[in-house]
Amino acid sequence: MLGWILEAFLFTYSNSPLRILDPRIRVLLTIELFTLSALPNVFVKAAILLAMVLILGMIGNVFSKLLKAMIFAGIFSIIIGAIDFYVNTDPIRALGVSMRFLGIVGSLSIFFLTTSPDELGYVMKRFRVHRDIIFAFLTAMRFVPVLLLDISQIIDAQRSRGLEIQKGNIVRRVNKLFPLVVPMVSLVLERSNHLAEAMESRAYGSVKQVSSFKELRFRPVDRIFLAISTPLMVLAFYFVLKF
Amino acid sequence: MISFQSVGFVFQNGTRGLHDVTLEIGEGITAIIGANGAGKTTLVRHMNGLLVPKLGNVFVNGQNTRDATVAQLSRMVGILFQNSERQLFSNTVEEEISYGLKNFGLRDDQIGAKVDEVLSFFDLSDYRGKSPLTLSGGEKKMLCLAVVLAWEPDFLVLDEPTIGQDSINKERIEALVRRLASKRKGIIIISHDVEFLWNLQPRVIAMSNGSILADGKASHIFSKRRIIQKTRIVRPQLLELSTILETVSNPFSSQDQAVNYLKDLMNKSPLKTSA
Repeated sequence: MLGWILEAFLFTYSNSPLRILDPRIRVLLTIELFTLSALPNVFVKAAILLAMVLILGMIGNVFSKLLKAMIFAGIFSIIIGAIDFYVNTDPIRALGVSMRFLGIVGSLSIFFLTTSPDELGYVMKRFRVHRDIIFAFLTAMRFVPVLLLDISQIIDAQRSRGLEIQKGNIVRRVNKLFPLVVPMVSLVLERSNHLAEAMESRAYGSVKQVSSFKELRFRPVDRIFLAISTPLMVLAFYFVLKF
Repeated sequence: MISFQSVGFVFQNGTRGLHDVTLEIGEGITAIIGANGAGKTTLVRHMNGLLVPKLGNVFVNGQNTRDATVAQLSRMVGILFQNSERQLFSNTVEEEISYGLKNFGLRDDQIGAKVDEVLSFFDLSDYRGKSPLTLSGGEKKMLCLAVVLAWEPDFLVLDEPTIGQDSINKERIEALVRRLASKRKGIIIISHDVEFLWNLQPRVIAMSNGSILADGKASHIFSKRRIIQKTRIVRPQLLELSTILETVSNPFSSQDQAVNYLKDLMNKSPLKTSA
């Protein structure tokens, strides 16, 4: 289940028009879509923005994974909509709020699905984020699949020792997590220690200014996309805020 | 008896795990060899229900794995995973061993007796009150074996048991496997360590691309060049040396005779280590 959810947010390489663009443009696009999705409560606007997110998912060749994100977010979206309906007693508005949440999650999902950790690192570096912070952030991202594999191995090992997580009342079930959590924490600490030693032995932090293997540069296709998308986004913001 | 009947399995990402696997595994030592990704671990994970076949059926002592829980099947098939040390979590070695026994519903007096038995069997009595996480790599491996053997499963699956183990520990594991096999247990070993397997002379099942490539005696399987290549293993040194001896000058009537001659020589060697 966890793997299924994470599939909706973890980068996998695919050929798509979105991948051709400079990652900074993808960041900008995500921020714009995220903000736009967060603004309206009105059903029609939220629906249009959600449609935009879905179309972008198709262009990005990540539609099926985006749908997974939507299904996952849908559970929370229903809860959010229900709370809004309880407070405001307006079903159309509640539907709009639900869709707004789906739009926010969808825009984030598209960004993470189409941007590799390396590209994210380049963008962060360009924005002068401290090297240690970039490294910590990217390492955390890269280790998600590894940790998932570790978790599944630990779960399998404990199930083979007779552990049945789904049986018993809530207190028993929480207690049954203990044999999973302890090895997991111990493994994470062990891994981080190994990584720290490996990085140190590869001279991490020995110089203040490090060279870069790849520098981000805008290409004509990026400029064209920016020239077309910026006025459209300005219009979208105007439409969302004014009407 | 573990019985695979035309078993097929495909992973979620579309990778073929097993293809039309039909085999029976009974008591005694059985080794499963194959290149990385050949389907060895996928095969054994079907034995205690961690994976359920997409096609065909797996029966453990007559019980279809589709109709039983992992816990029920694990009572019959104990698996020692490759990174088994990662499952350790208890405060003490004693608690670690008793954890599985409690899950399987044994009474307190039975648990106490079993814990005593396996602690002495694995020479771990001195570590009874110690944290499992403070043990050495070899001791952790022994503890994990003790954990699985505590509930006396009919079959024991060992996934790469010799990885990271020194020669003394390897010999201990080898001796343990022989001892269990003599108790009419089924021991299934996944390993790339051909020297370890050669010493045990097990039945060998060679796998490739999720299918059974060959099934037979170790001496037969390891002498087939095609299988050696497909499973990406190195021939046992004794077998290799006997082949060279045969090529250079052939004082032996058969390869078995050459192997036995070399074995004798090795046993007489002053460099031989023992546990």
